[in-house]
Amino acid sequence: MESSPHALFWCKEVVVVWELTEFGFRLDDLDRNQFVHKMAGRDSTELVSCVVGLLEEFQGTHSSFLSSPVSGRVPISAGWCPPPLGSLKLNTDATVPKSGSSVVYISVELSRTKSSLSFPLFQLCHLKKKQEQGQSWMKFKAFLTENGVNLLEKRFLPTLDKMGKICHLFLTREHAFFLHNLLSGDGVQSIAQFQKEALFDDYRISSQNEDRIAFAIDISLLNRAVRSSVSICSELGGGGSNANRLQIKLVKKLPPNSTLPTPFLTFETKGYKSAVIQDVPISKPLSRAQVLELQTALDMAQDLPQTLVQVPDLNQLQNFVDRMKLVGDLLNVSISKYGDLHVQTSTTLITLGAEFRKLLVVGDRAVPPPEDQNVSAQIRSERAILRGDAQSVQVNVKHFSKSLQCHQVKPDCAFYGIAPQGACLTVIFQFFIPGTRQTDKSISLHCRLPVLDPS
Amino acid sequence: MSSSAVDSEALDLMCQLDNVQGMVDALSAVRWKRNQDAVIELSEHGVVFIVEETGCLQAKVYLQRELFTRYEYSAQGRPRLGVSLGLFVDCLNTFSVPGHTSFIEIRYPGPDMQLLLKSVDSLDACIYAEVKTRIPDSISWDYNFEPVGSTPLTFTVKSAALKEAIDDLEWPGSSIQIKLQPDPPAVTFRGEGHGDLQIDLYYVNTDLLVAFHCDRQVSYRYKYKFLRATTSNIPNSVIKDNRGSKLTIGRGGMLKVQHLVSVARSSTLHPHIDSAGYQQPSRIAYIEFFVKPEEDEDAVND
Repeated sequence: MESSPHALFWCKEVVVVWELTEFGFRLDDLDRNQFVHKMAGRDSTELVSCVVGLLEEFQGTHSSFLSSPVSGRVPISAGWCPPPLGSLKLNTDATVPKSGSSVVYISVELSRTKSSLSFPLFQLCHLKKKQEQGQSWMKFKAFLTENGVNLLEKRFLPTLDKMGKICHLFLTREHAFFLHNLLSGDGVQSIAQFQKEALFDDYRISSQNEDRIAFAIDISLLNRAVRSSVSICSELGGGGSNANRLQIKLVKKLPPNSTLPTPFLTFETKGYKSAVIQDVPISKPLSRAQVLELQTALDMAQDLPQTLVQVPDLNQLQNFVDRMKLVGDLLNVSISKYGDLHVQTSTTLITLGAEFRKLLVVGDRAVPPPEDQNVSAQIRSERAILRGDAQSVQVNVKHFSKSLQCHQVKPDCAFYGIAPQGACLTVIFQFFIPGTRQTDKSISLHCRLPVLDPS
Repeated sequence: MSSSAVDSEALDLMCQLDNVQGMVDALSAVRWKRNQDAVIELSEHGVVFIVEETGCLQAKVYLQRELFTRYEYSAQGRPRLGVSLGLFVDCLNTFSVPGHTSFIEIRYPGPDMQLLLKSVDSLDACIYAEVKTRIPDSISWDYNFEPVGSTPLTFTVKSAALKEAIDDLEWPGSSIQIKLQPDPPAVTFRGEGHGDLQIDLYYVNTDLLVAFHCDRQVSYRYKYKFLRATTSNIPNSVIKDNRGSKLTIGRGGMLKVQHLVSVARSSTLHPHIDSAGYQQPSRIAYIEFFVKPEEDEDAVND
């Protein structure tokens, strides 16, 4: 004979049923328990007695259900057939009373033993309430691919961490975005976009807001979770690649000493011998209005400068700008259609600048006038601006240096450009499909530097 | 130079240098505070940077014309200009690209009496700077260093050892006694404060003391912070090259500390120089510190 907890929760077939339910009811899942039991978490043993209690209650009231149905409530059908021996049957039923709140009954019939067991498992009386909250329906679950782990752990997360500790993770049906400063307005905006296939497989997302979910997350914590998951995976040594998959999902849990359920992004590594679960705390998911605001900011951030110049050596430029930081705070950046990039800082005591010429131009270009060949960098860019062939903006030198740090994501090219009307300085990083010169459209990264003096 | 509005004939100085890092190293050695003013003196022999503090400490960096790949001087007299040393070093540092040889050109004066710097190693990438200059303060005291007697009182010590000794002397207090004695030939550094610390360097082999000349015992006291300034920013290349520093005591106990800093191009680019074990002797910047002794020196002198 099997113990009740085993039959209900641990037996392989039952677990499959739990996994398959639309409601995602998993009894090993603390937050679900909390939900079912009105936010009071219970362990499995407690749950068993509760379920058995429910069963008795059900059996006790079953006859009265049949004989005198409550107004507006359809009685649960009593005509269930026991499933064939050795199989497991899951029945669901729902009634919608006039008050509008739904009641869903789920029953599980077990015929593993000779006597079949049948009971309603739980009632979902919270449909309406959940709709009002608007967030509880959010579901996100995916597996990080090996490529995804490499991209995040080695390249993107350490770099994005330098852009700012906190970023928004914005998930849609097709894309995952890491967004910095899109809602705050000041600071460097950085937009890292991945097609879901670039990072994940078995990507499942649902929310009542067109399956979009966004929340704020601490990048360094996220990176730590990914990194340690990776080390566990590699520790457990190869085996089947499926065994070591890294699952990532959105959960709500009760933290210790708290009565308020808190959202987490959970990393689950099921290794060969052990499993590791890491919870990365995240902000409350953004409301529908906030997500809309984020999406709008994201759409606005996609406008391309008319002229982009390719920076040949980001390392060298970063080296220069890092030393320049000691000399001045403000940086004038001008970019011309001739392929000139000119950066300059100027204080009462010193003017320090660098000019890079004959860079590759993408977009609007022009032929440099020959009379500009032999003048100084300053005069050259002044003339180009007067002619309308160049634009100039002033940015914070620290912002510029930050944008250069993005070369640590190992892009294949980087382009600087000034957005129309000098709205911002944009840097776009381009990635090639490995071994080719073709743009990898599944990854993109660009930054927008706020302009200090829009003139 | 057609690339500038400045008429090259009106220039006092146009020079080019192929090792910016060497110049940064040499100037950093006399930068003991973040904000320091320096006086630059131009002459047909080269460029001298002079830094001074409270009339008790003066440092000079001599960049002889031989250090420059090109040196065109056409001024009358010796023009002097004041700059912020810190800013100048930070600025110069932006021209130095690790792993590259950076060629720069320095010109003076610009249209507004600026020092003009620009990189000249690439046509398509150029770094430039204009450093404002001002009329320098007059040098507040005369540093004419006069030897005492016929033989100079002098010793040469490994720069690394000197730095280490001075660093170690930090704890006892603010005043350090330096004593030279002929028999047995030795140099003593002694600090007294909350406790005391004495460091003796004996002239028995050339491991530490490379040279020693002393015909009678002398002893003077110097403020620790001034002594420290003479070694606190000594460039790593000096330590790495295992160079020596020469200390001389002149009339009235004036202490002169001399370091040598290499401004040669990095050897990786010119392996043939290295393999021959040969370095151009002229590619050295001389750095001198003058430290005045404390007034109440012991009566054992002169």
